[in-house]
Amino acid sequence: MYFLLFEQKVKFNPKGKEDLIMTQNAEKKRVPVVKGWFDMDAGLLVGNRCKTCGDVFFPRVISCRNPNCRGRELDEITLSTKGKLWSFTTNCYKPPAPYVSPEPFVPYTIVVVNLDKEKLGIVGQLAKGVVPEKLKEGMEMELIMEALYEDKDGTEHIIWKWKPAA
Amino acid sequence: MKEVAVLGIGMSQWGKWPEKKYVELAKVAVEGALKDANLAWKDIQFISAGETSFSGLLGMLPGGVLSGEMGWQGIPVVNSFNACATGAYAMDIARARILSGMNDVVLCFGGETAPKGFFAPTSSDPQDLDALRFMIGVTNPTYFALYAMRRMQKYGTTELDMAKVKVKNSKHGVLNPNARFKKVFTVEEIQASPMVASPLRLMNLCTTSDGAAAVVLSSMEYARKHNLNPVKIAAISTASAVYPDAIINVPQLSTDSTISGEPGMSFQRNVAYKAYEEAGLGPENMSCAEVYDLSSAYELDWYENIGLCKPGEAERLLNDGDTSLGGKIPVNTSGGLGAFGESVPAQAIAQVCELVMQLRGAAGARQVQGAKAGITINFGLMGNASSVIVKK
Repeated sequence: MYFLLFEQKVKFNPKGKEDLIMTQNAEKKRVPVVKGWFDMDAGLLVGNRCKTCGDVFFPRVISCRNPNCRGRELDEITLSTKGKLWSFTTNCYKPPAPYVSPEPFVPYTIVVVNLDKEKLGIVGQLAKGVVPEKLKEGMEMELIMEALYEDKDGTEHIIWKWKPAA
Repeated sequence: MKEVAVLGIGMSQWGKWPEKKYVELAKVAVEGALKDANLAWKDIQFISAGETSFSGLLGMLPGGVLSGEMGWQGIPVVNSFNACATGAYAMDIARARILSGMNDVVLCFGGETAPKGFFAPTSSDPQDLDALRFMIGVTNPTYFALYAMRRMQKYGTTELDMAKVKVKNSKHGVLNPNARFKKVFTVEEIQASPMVASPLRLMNLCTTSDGAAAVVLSSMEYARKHNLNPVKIAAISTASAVYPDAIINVPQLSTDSTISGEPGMSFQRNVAYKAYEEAGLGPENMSCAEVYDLSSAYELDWYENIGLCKPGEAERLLNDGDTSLGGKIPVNTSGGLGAFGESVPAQAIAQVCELVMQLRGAAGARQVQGAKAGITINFGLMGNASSVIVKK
């Protein structure tokens, strides 16, 4: 199926994934910023759970970090996607490399969300287009995958981010 | 009792001198401490140096570099790095040598000439946590801003409260010859400074500085033999957090999970708690305190972490004038990081130097009347924090 959407064509490929085709007919490649922290296609963070004591870890650990357990067998799990906003801040100064900044620098917001289910806090950027003035401690947030930055060739470098839950 | 005597203290001025080597500043501090202790370089039996990562390979071996400068004596030298808590760990190692009976008189020092601006990671590989967090844009001020915003949301801390911390510390700093910034700030000036990471403005954050501090410690027996009545270190705590740690700490991107139990004590509280325990004292015994005001808001967190007041009450302490000179429990009479900036390996030692001056009655215009005991608290990375209790 093809849709003409302004100047972009959207094609559904046989695997059911959506690829965005630019008018120049080059496919936008999506790569994860870091391997092993999330399943980009599933849109979920990846952690692990200790088989012995049930504690959960993100990112994945090699052995249980509970000092009373120290089990060496863990199940890989995907984490839930909703949690409460613990705090937030808007950075107004350009960080040094390896931060990839647009020129001129654009302030961005960092948030900490405590997952409701796994009860751990995760830092991430606020999703594009969300007004930081709307943020309030304790509000429900949900996980998305979005480009952290884009290469000159149009490759999107994907990372997890947070937005207010629908 | 784990007491050791502070025979001598020495500090360089804090400032920014790109052309100076850290060992020049370290010499000023070390020679100052020896003179203050009325001892010679040859009297030192053990050297514990705080290391700096910013002065190249030799910066990681400051003890040896200083020993060479002052003249090799064949004595043991150890270098340690524990981020901002480095100086306290250097003292802890030295203290252990005394308490074990292995040495009588030891030297601890730390000094640095640091680069300007944000600390940057050494790698750009996303598998390195420090690189990854910078890629996401999570700088060191980000964390302090998150804590500050949390205070505002949870306790109603205002920008005015935070500005008043800076004003207070600047009023103390102008009275300190060693401070880098000798200027009294107004609330208006602070509020006019640019926003760095909301809610923290440039004047709410501390900068990096060049500076060195040193102490000469001895056993109580040595002090008695020489008819000295020195100020004592009653506790050095370098306690870390307890699992599960629910606080998001530099340079992490996540916390432990509290799925199976209550959060363990954060290192911010644990380090002070253990210091009081070791000294056999409580917050009510403290005459003054030196706390790590990496941000103006963080100073307020520290009042609560060292037990000066209950959570949420720090602003009242500040606004009642309790933590200003002349108040019930003056905090950061030195001027704090606000007036000094931070010299990573030296700062924890500088905090102790200030308290020693207070307890000797030698703090001049910054004197806390009748000071009997004081506590320092300091914050490092990856669970390195420190708290030192000094008493008469």
